[in-house]
Amino acid sequence: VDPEPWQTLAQQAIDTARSAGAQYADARLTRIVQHHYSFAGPDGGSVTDVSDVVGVGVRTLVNGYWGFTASPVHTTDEVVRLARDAVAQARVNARGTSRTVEMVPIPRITGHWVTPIATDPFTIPVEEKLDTIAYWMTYAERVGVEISDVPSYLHFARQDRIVATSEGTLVTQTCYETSGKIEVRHPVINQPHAKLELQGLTPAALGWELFAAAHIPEQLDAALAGILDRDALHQAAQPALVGRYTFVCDGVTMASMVEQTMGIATQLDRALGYEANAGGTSFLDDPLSMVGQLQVAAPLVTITGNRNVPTQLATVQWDDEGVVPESFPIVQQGVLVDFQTTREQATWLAPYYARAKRPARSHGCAAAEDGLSITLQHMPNLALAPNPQTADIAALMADVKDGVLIEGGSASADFQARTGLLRGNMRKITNGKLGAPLNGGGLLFDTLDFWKNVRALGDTTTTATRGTSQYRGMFSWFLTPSIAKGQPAQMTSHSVQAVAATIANQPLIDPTRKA
Amino acid sequence: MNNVVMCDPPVHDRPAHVNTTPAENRPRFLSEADCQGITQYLASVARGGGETDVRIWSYWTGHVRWARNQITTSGDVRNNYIHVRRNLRGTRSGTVAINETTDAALVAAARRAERLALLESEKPEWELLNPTTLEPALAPQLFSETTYQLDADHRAAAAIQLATTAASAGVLSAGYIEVAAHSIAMLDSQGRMYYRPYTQASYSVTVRDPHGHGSGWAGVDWNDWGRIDPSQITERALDKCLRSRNPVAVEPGRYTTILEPQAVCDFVWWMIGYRPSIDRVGNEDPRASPRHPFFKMGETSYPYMLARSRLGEQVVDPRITISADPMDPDLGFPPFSSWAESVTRAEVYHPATWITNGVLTALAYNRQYAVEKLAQATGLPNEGAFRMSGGETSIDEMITTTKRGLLVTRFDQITLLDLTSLLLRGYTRDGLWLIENGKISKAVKNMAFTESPLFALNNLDQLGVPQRVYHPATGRVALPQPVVVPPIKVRDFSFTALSDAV
Repeated sequence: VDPEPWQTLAQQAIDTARSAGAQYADARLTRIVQHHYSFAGPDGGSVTDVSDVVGVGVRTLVNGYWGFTASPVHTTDEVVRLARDAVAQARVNARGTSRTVEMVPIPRITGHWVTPIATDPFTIPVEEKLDTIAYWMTYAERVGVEISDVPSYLHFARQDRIVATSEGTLVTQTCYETSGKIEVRHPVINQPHAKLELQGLTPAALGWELFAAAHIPEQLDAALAGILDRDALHQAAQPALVGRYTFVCDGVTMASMVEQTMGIATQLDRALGYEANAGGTSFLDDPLSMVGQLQVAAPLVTITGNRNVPTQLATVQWDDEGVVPESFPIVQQGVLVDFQTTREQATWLAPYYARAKRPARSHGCAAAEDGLSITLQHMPNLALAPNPQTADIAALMADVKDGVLIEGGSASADFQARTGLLRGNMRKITNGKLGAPLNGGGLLFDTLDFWKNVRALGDTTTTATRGTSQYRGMFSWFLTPSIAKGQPAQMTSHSVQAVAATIANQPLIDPTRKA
Repeated sequence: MNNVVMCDPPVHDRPAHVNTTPAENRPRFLSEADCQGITQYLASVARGGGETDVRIWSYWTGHVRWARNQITTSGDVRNNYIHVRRNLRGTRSGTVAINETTDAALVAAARRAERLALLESEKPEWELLNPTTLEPALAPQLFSETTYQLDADHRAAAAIQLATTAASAGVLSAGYIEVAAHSIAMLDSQGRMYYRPYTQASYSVTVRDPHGHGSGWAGVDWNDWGRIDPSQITERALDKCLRSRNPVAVEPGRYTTILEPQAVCDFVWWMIGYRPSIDRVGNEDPRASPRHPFFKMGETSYPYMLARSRLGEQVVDPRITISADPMDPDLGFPPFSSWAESVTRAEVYHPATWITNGVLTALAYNRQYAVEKLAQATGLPNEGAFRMSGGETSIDEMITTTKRGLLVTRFDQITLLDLTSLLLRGYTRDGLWLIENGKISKAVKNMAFTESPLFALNNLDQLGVPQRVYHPATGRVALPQPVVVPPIKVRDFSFTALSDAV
């Protein structure tokens, strides 16, 4: 993208909106390029999806009410039309009861930023990527396994984004995402457990180096033994015995728990009912009286939000309102201390910030899927702070007498993130020793009870990152319902980093057992 | 011939199209002539011979959203997705998707598609069996002027009035009105074309007690905004909110359960609309594991098991017939499956009856399956729109004939636990009541359920009159999936856990 004509268009949109009567306006122009590679071709891989999609979105504020218009046409007359229509829309909305929108002040910023990556995947020729896929497939066969054509893929995305505001902020950013999924299966045994997924390919704000760092051939070398181990383990599996146990959850499992419970419940718009007709609300349903007071987890638990950690998907230099994001605690030593906010939302918590003698500041969670979607509060990157003492996964298990290990688990919760079900690969722990796999178990959790019963956290050796990407090929066919925001629904990318944890006295159930 | 020559695009005269029209007069979505103009232009700039296939999905959508009884966001958005496919030497093709209609964007897409085509392997034989004439497609009238003319002014006025209803009752409403006009087009450089415009309209609202003690929901979608009665929907959500306040907990267990039509849609959709459900292609794949219960393991030919379907077998209660017809005036949807690769390979929708009086009578398959396995020329697509037959029993009558049971407004956050039994887990939401001795006795706390539609539809007690429910297309350019279903009363529906979520 040549930024200059885009900046001119953005400025024209804002000038038009201002002269049409908007008290505030911002314009976003985006271009998203995506390349999707499958493992399905007879000669190896193939390029199944190439898309190049642009958007111009204009947001205006008139008398406390927002208007928004968008289209893919990048011409002066079009952005003028968009700006006028957005102002007219805000004005008709403003016939409603009196409403005030205050946005916390920020310094005027201009600048340019690019995701720090080593190798731009779009500069690597298509032929070279296809050759790489073919090489992996041949290599897999040579070491006695097959790469499943479904669901394996490689995906590359680049989003160029300009944000301009009527306050004089003008920033341009280029954000990269790379991800892949490579499922390896046994060539003969056709069983769900006779396959495994290669590690290190979760969506990340990285370039082609993601694949080098994943050491694919080395993982393939170990794949057959890994699958046979899993198969042998499966033969020894026992049915999960319903009851209360101490659970040790690995980092991936805890990342999912952080995302699906605290990550959802601490979105301020959800907590106040702004998403009631969409994804739902929050068990933190009285933010002002709860924040700074409510014990939501054991004192050793600290969860922070951020959009500035390298390689993580929500990381930007400026959010869609021009805010420079910082790392902010959400749960500190077990106490709820903040919510995810935008500039408008930060003022909703002003009495709390005044009480706590902190400035009201946006946490930089304003984002949108692209220029065609309105800016909303979206989930930032989240992190569960590690144990500063040495505590690897073996150390966590060593203290467990009668318990269960969950690996690679994922959680699903109700529409207030109040209760839910955690499923994953379970193994018995007896007197600190890892035992047989358990079939068909699930941890039925109550969010507060789960977090308050965290007895130990792992150190950084147990850290895992889970990326949730907004890119699903060309279209938004399937949104992750618990992550999607707004109506019309949209989704943005974020990463969750977490360490392993020990949680006492949690119910193990058979989720497939009916009443 | 092996190298695509890369050079500056030639200058061609294009038919009048969206970019040369002044912004104020620009159409909100692409007309038939616009789509033809784009295709002709693409064909004229093509290099390397072969044919050009174009698919276009163009739309305008206008919406308004409110929460806490005030409008929070609104929007007016236009977009055009254009898939350009270049077929070179008849056997290799590449596809590129863009959303700009400028000459430069179209030329760049054609060039890129040509480069990709050379990297693709040759097409399998069945793909070469392209028919030269198009299969006739149904032409339901799905365009509503009432929907198209509901502008920002009218949407805001409706939102303000509807929010006032809740505000005067002392409760909080969060609602959403959306109207949209779409066109889908499939065309090629030989002038063959399908083009269908359609509109969509939806309204849904959640009304909550200000202290979070109760919540009610109601909603519906139609292609015609004129068929939606927003006041009546708001009243229903408000009534549910007021009656659902201060719920008490009841023990999880098996209950005689009345599912309102929305709950039936949320639940039964997994049996019909969920893509792997009635699809022959995926389920008959010898590697498929697990499989949908409409398929069973056939002879074992190690290492793979072949699956046979249950076609012709009784799968649910004989009172149930499930069908999908694009011409159904209360269903009505564009007569195509999701995008085919070319106009000649479009998957044309045929009226289908998946279940007839409880017997499985049809399963979906695509055109490749039709050609390879059935020696037929056309597929039988399923995009998830469906109508389920019902009965005459009103919900009131279902209640009066229930000694002890539950009444469910809708379900949420449903996940699939086990495909082979179609076992689902999800939560009740926005209104759950206990029925005792023929009367609603109290509001009860939400619960998680663990149940299969196949079990429930074999334990049917009563059925009511089918009606259109809220099931708008998901995602920007998904095809509409209208659903018409009755309320039902089933025995022994399994609720497995309590939830304090409101």
